[in-house]
Amino acid sequence: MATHALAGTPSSSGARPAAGVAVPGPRPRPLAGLFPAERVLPVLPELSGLFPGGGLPRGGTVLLGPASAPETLLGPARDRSGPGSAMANRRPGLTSLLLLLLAGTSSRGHWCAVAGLPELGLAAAAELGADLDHLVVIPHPGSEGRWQSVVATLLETVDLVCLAPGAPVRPVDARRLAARARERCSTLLVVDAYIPAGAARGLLSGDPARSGRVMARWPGPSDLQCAVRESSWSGLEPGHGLLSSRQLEAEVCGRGAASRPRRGLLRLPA
Amino acid sequence: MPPVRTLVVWCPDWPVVAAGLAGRPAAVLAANRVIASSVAARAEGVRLGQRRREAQACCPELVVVDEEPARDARGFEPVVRAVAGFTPRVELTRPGVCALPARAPARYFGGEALLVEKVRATVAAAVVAVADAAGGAAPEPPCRVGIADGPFAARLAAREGVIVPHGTSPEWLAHFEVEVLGLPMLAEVLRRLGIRTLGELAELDEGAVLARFGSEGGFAHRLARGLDERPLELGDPPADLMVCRVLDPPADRADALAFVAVGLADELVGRLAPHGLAATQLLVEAETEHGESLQRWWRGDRPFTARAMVDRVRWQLEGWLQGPVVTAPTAGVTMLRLTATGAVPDDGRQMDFEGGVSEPSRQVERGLARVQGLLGHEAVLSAVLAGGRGPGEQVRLVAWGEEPDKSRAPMAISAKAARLGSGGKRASGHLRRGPRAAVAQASHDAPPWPGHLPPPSPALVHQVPIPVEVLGPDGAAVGVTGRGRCTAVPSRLILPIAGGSPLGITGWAGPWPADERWWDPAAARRRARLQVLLDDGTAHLLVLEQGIWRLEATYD
Repeated sequence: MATHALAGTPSSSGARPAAGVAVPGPRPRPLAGLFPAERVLPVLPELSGLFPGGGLPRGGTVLLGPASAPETLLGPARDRSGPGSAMANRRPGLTSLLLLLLAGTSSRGHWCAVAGLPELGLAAAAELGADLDHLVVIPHPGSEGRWQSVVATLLETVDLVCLAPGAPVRPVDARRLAARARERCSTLLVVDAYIPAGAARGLLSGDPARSGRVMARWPGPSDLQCAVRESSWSGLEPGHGLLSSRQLEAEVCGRGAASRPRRGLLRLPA
Repeated sequence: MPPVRTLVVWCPDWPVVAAGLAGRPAAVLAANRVIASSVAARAEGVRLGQRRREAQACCPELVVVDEEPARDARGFEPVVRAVAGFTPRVELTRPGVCALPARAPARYFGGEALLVEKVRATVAAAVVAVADAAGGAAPEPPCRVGIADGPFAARLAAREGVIVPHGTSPEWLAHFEVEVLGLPMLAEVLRRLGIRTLGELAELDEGAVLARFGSEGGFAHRLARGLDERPLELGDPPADLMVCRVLDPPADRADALAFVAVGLADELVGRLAPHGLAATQLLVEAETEHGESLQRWWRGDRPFTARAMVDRVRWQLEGWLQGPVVTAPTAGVTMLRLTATGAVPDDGRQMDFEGGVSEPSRQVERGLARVQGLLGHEAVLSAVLAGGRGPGEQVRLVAWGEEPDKSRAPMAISAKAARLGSGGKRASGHLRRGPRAAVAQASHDAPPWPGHLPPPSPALVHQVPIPVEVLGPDGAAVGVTGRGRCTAVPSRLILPIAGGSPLGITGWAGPWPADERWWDPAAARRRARLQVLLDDGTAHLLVLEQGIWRLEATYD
């Protein structure tokens, strides 16, 4: 008996380092080992009530775009009628919501990367409280075949990766990136069906692939969808005043704890 | 290990000389503090550590330039080349100071006094040449040379221009004040404890100093006793401390090479770290397609971090590639090699408790370097707030890992204040006052940009402004008069590219004229901006230039 126990001890302790060595590459960070507060990335206090767990889920994929069910059905059909109507159809305020999410995460010392949004107003981000020292911008993440590995590397590197796909994404890529985020405990924030300048730019350059960007929908799984339901500005009148404050109604819905949509009213100085 | 007999060449006020301002009252500033000044400026009362305004109050005709390590290194390269004629083993401490082992050259040239004379004459000629090339006069004297045991004592000897006889460095050092150690915090504490000179510090028990002041105190104590800067190496340093990268295609730009050096420096630090070591000396070697080669030693005051290594490589290569045509390489660099020596136990660096330099974690640095490897150096950007009027001008993007040019970063302070202010206000659950109040308050510190856009800034700044038509109530196009007034009330906006149904303008402010750089015909721009709110609830910023309205940014 005693010899069995003794023989067992060295072999089991000997196996452990071997197993540790066998793990290739950087150490994976298991989600299960995290404290509840560490399973989410911080967001601004005004937004924390909208997210299950009080923040963006680590390891999750979050879509930012038109999320409400009826509009999702109608959305692509309307888009096909032309980017001109797309401009009228889209809800304003999505970019501000994105900047608020970046502000909440970067101001707490987490690293954020934004890929594929050359028109993002970083001065506005700083005004909303984002820490530009913790924000990396990759305006043009590369062409087909290149951007996937760029985004995958970013997911391994920083805590929050915001991606605005420049062209329709293949479902296999979407699934892979979502899996990479889950594995590395980073959050992938996808600006879905991104329209604003894309519409105009596509028409300007006359490039059909560019205007295809308008219809780029995220074809993979997602944990949460964030959207702006209402947006209104105040302060600017005909011939006088200035844009001074705005009201945004944000909505978050998704799976599990988030299956009941939560809405919140935000008043912003920007 | 007895200290090595060392000769130090010190060119006083080097940053001023390299900027070509030595003959005039001039000062070089870093972060608004004087870090170097010319003799003429000092005569007027300009002192190190003064703010810009204080210095200009002392000396109204003061010429002020910003610090630029690359310029200093570039200018110093010919001087090092001249010194390298005496012995190839020249070590740069920083631009302006270099050291060489004195024993062998002294014997060759017939004694230390003769060697000092020869070095002084050679370097003086080189400094005068550099100052001439930079368009200024050389200071008087152009350089000082000294010999003592060990680099620290030799630096002080160079400052006084003396030769300290062999073996007498500790006695000679004893009369210096503790401030010469270059450790201001420690010096202040020592002074309060009644320890004013290096001699008094050296008399203390080494163990007691180490116990009370840690590794920094131990380091100071070693210097005070005239011992070598680095203690004996503990254990065996890793065998292979040389990393090399062959470049294909050859690179001929310093920033491209510095990008390669990032990987090499990481690797080098990675090899030392498992042994708990860090390097204090670095050999930078480069070879070109035509077989030219360059090698330089650098010595750090403190053990090198990977970032510090990369800085040395960048300065060195800029000095080489952008130096005088005679010495500049004729082809691209094909090989870059870094060798670390002088390994010392790495006792780490303590970051400041609040603020200070926040170093990105190694994981982030490595990951982003990989992305740069995929897309190119310029594809990964970080943003710095800068002064400007237009929506896109208030932020400048710099390639990741590159030092942002500080000269136009007036908003940095206010941004920080905004963060701090908003952090405090957010607890109340209301965003309205937080950042803006702080920005408004802190903007007093920032230089004014009259006519800049009022906050909030637009969330989308279009890369290519979109041409639009702005129509008045009668359907006529709206213009802006020379006195900055609209010719009609803007009431409709047509986006021709979007197919054309007009959108009503429900609110507008402006026009805000911006007449920029009118003194420079090539860069002059006259524009007028208009903030509009449309009936679909979107808000935009329009700009009129040369009769064409464009959609410049969207308040999304």
